[in-house]
Formats: sequence, structure tokens, C-alpha cells
Amino acid sequence: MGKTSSIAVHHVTRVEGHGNIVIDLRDGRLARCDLEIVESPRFFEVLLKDRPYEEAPRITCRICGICSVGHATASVHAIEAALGVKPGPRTRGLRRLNMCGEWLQSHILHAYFLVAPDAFGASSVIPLAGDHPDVVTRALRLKRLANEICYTVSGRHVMPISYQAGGMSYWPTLPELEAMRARLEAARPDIDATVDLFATLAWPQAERVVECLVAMDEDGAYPMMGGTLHSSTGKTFPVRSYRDAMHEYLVEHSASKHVKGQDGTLRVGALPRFNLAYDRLHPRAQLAAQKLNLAPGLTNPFLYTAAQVVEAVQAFEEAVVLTDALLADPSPEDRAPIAHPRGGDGVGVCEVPRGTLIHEYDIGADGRIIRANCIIPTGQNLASIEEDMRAFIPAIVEKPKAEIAHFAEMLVRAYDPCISCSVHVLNVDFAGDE
Amino acid sequence: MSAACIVPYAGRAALAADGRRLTVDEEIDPVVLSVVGIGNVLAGDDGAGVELAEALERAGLPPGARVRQAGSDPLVVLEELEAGRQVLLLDACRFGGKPGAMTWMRLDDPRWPAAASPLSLHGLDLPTVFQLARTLHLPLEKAWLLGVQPAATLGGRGLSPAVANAWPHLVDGAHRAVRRLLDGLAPADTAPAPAAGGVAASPGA
Repeated sequence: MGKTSSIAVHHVTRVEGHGNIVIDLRDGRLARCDLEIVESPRFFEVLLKDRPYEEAPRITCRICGICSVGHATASVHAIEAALGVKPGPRTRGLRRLNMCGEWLQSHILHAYFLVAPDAFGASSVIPLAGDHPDVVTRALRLKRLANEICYTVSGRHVMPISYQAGGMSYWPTLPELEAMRARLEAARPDIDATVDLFATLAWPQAERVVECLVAMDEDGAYPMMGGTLHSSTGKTFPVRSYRDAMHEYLVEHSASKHVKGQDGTLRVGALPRFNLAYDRLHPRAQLAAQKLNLAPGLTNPFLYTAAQVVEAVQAFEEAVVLTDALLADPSPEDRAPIAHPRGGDGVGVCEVPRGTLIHEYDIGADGRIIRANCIIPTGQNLASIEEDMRAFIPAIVEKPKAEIAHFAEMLVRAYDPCISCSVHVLNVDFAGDE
Repeated sequence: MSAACIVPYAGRAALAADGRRLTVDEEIDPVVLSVVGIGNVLAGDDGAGVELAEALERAGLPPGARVRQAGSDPLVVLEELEAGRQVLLLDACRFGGKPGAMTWMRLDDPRWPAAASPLSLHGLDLPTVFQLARTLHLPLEKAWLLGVQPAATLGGRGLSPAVANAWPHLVDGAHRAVRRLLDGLAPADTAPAPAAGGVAASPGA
């Protein structure tokens, strides 16, 4: 291609939300490469202002149809931190089971419907379905299984409304748990086939060392339900000090804030979790990693999808174990008491499919939310996505424009960005704040 | 997390009337009609399908029918068809009627516009999903749309006055549609509303 050219990919496809890639090449050098986030702000935090805290999980789960369980989880964690509530072990197990359903659903959707077409040389999942209908119907079965897990746990397939400070207002019955256990067992061949399929795919080579950040569960489980923030730099941060672990800043071309870590861009999500918590994976998930030829220390962002496949196995196996635990004792657990009913400030964190999700609420003495802050994983990854493009595209500037554009789109897609979620209000000044 | 493994249904090998082995779904969850609510209740009338599905669930559905909330994911329709179920899709739908009016349509109806956009995630449009269903040879003739003409689908909670005023009529119509589909009939005894210029599903779908 010519030495001076511009490439504009308007509305990158097969990502959630609207983003544009802008690439300017001057005299054979990369002069500009931006991921423009053009989605309108959605003002999540303003929706919460003055609302009773009980409503927060039910409102925030509507932020995202894919990560609705994660938002409900981070939300109830923030409330429980503010009110001094410690839910019991079976409540925590039930919530974790719901997260397993969400992880499985999200990872299957991304791997099969959004990434697999590239790997099979198809423009989208529709021609892929024509050539490989067995692959797509398997994805539909697994996605449905994942949604059935959420339905069993919370009474709704998406956007749960059962999350309460200290407990859950819905508890599955023994027959419901037995039915789900049977469904899980029936789905095992589909999980195994998923690993076998993605183990055959070749991933583009693109290595860049980037700080990884993960909220590690305190009980030694694979990171999912939140805990101390661990950076690959070796630093750790209590949840309340999340602002020390990540620094938000504005860029002109994005309606979403960018985030940097200790010394540059930051990665969150499946690949960092795999790197920092490999030894916490279920043995079957570790076996899947071996089949996919993965080992901790991954630096290639295209391997996000491979790590998601490992985590799909992890979510599936954990769902089996957690269901068995609930079958052994299916009686509902009482809500834990509220220690600080006059409110306060609380930070809630969990690991949603795309990375570390943080909610912070300041709850007033009247039980209403005074101030809220939500930090979404995609926002944490955006700067890294751009830096990846700026690092990798100079090596292919001699390729045809279409090939460069396709590479850039695949790179953005690899992170599984949820652009609509990442775009929300920037600096919120609630009326009445001093 | 170390309880003994319990697999209550493994190895039962129950058989259907035609002699084939039942699937797990057929054996443990005999739902024949999935009532799918789709949309976003934070986007005005876009949430009409979700609210209708919730209203049906609260009132109680006949045996064999179950509500499935889809949020903004129309792939749910395919998942249910793949599982061998009929589908009644409840959604806000611009079909040229008055706000609050209801229409119905079988999802293999040729009046649906062609897929308008490449596959994305939340932005997946119903015509794209139907194209995928046809590619996979899923039985779209077993799926029906019950559409509510919206007045406003911008941000904000709650239905518009026009849709709210029509609510008792809409809930009654949805109930009747469920019963009729379970009886092997079309969702309504009236002809589906003609869609001048085609049908457009709401932004939530």
C-alpha cells in the first residue's frame, strides 16, 4: 500500500457497542492509531443517586445484558461493605454459582459467535453456521445451559433481582437443583468438544508485556467474587484502595475514560486471571490449558479467547461442584444482619468475564445513595488495546489496507470489549455535594 | 465445595412415545412453549415485552409454558427452538399501529426485512437472528412474535401513558396467545396487522 494513507473502520463489528478505529500512516510510519469510543454516555451513577440502596443491584444489573449478574454482585458487595454485612457461606456459594453461569454464557458467546468466524475465515457466524452447523448449535446449547444456571440460582435467566444485603431473596428448590445437575452432566461432551475445537485454531502472534491486574478471592478460589487487587508488578491493594491500583484519565477521542496501572497500560480479564491464578484452576481447566498449549505468562492479547475457553471449563466444573454442595444442603440460608444501618461508604468488587468490576457507593443515614462510582473492565483495557495497535501495526504497514483493518478489528475484538458498559458519566457532581 | 457427586437423572434412559430416548430437557423440564420477554426496562416502552412476560409469570402460566427473560439477547429464540420448544416472543415492535396496539406474526413470515447489520452483541437485530435460524434449519415456523407498538423507546424507566393505558388489554391478549398456542392455534383469532413498509423490532432487540 502507499506510504501515506488513512484507514477508518467505522463501528467495529462483533464487539458490544460502537467504536471506531482510526489509523493514519504518514510516509510509511504510524502517525495516529486510536480506538474512538463514540457510544453516548449512559449516566449509570446518576441513575443511582437518591435511590434506596436496596434498589442498586436491581438497577445496575440493567447496565449490561451480558454482565448483569456481575453488576448485581459488585453492587451488593458495595452495599454489604458500607453496611458491615457478611453473608453466610451458602449465600456466597449460591452467588458464585450464578457468576459461573454468567462466565460460561459470556465466554461461549465471545469465543463461538464473535471470534470463531475469524478463525474459520468466515465474515460472521452466519456463514460459519452454513459451513459448520454443528459448531454453532453446540454454542447455542452451551449458552442455553449457562442461562439455565442463572435461572435456577436466581429465578431469572438474566438481570437477577434476588440480591439483597446479606442474602438472596430467591433460593432454588431441591428438584430445580437436581434438574440443573442433570443438565450439567449432559453438557460435558459439549464442553470437551469446545476445548478440542479451539485447540485446533492458530492465533496471531503479537507479544507485548503489560501489567495484569486481578481481584483475588481471599479463600484461595479462582478469582471471581472479588478480594484484594493483585498486580503482576507484585503490588497488592486492598479493595478500598482501588484508586491506587488504577488511575482513570480522559482522552479526547473516547467517551469512555482510560485507565493506567502502576507504570503504563493495564490488562484485566481472562488472560490476566489465567496468568496470575493458574494454580487456582480446577484440574480439568488446567488440562484444558495444556490442550490449548497455554501456560502462565501469556503476553499475546489474541490469547484472551483461549484463556476464556479455559475459564469456560473452570466455570462449568465449579458449577458442578457448587451444585453438589447445594444439593447436600438445599435449605435457604438466613440473611446476615446489618451491622451499620446508618450507612457509610462501601466498595464492592468482583471479576466479571471481561475483568475487574468495581462499584463504590456512599450510602446516607436515610438508606439512600448519595454518590456512586462504577469502574468497568472495558474502560481498564481500552488504553492497552490502543497501545497494542500502536505496537503491532507498524510491523504490517506494507500490507493491504483491508488486511491492516482486519488485523486491528481482530485485536480489538480479542479483548471482548463491552463498549456500552465502558461509556458512562465521567466526573459526576451530585447536586448538594460540597 | 467438596460434597459427593449426585447425578439424579443419569442412566434413566426414559423413552418418548416414538421410541427414541428423551433429551434431558424433555425428561426433567417438560416445557413446550417458551414465552420470551425481550427489551430493556430502562428504555421506556422498549421494556414492554419484558414487563408483559413478568406480568404473565406473576399471574401464572398454564402447564407446559414458561417465561424466559432474554434481556437484549434475541439469540435466546434460537436456543429455545434448538431445544425443540415453541416460542412466543414478546417485544416492542414498530409495525405502524397506534402506540399500545398489539400485533402478531410468525417468525418465518417473509415480510421481515433482511438482516440489516453484521453480527454484534447487544446490537444483534432480530432479522439477523432469523437469518441464522434459517441457516441452521431451525423451525422458525414454531416461533411467534407478539409485538407492542411503542410510543417512546428512549432512556427512562416506565412505560409511556399510551402503552400503560393499554396494559390490561395487552396482558389479556398475551394470556390468550399462550393458551391458544398450547392448543395448537395461532396467537389470536384476528388476522395479523399488515405491516406497511415492513416490521422493525425495537432497539432492545
